[in-house]
Amino acid sequence: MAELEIHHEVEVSDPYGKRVGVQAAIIAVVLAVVTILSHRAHTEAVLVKAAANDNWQRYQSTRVKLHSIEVGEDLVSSLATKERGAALLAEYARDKGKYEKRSEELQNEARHNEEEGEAIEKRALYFDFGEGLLEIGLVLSSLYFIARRALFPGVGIVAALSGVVVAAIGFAV
Amino acid sequence: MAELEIHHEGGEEKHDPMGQRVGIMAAVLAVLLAIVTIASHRSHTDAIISRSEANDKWQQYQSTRVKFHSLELGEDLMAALAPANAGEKLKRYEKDKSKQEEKGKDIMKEAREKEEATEHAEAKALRYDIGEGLLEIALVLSSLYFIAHRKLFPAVGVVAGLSGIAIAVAGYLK
Repeated sequence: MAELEIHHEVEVSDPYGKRVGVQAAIIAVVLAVVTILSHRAHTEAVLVKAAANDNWQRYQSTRVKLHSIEVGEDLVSSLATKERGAALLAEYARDKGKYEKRSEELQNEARHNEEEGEAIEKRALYFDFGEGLLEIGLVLSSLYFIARRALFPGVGIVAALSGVVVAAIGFAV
Repeated sequence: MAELEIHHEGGEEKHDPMGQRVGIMAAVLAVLLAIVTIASHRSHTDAIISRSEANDKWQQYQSTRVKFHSLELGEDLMAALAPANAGEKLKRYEKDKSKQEEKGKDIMKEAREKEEATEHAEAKALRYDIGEGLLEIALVLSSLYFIAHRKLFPAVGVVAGLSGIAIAVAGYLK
């Protein structure tokens, strides 16, 4: 009974415990925000990568069309009479130029998408590290209520602040 | 001894009806938070699946365009190299070209619908994410009452919670 009473009194008159509680609550809020940012960044990276795949596919289709025209050009120039082939060859030359330009544009778009995807994944990595450190900060701060040792929230605040810094770097990347 | 402890704490709880109400509120917020978090994850996954289906449709579309292009080339070669025997085949090519063109248009429409579905799912997910964040904040603030014993925390928590619910519902209705 005495033990229980002491326990009760500690809870009531433990301003440090209150501070640790507030600290844990703030860490929990920041952790929630960083976790959501991390999830969103990962999803965005997947969607951008899908857009890159789409552009690479369009690029390949353009190259197949260009290749078909080259085959047609060879056949017409080898087998058709000059007067029949001339108009077609001129048209093929125009189309080849068009497909060449288009494929270059698509290649640039696809590469841009890939670079964007990598940048987002890099950002997500920082958010992930930040999330991990904040989680450690939260757990260590909460440990105070079991162990009643100031060391835990002390290390917890260091971990949490590191997590905030790492997550903030993610924004700057 | 244990009985005494329970009795003692129970007595204290009776003196703090506000604490009981905040406890119930935190529990309700936790349940809502779990629902919104799941909805958010599901919506993000939906967006990825729709995007992948859109890619698939665009690939089908490109195939029809390549076929169409091959038919055009065949037409040209037939007309240039064997004009005397080309009549029958050119008719068939013309028919096939129309078929591929029609099919290509249908597939393009489907691909655009899938892309719109992706954007829609991501717009929903954004609202769920904001709702999730606000509900998380509401839950933490409400729990703070048990440490700080200040009504301000659950009061702000209620505002954050209601905002979170409203935004998540807006996501659901979108």
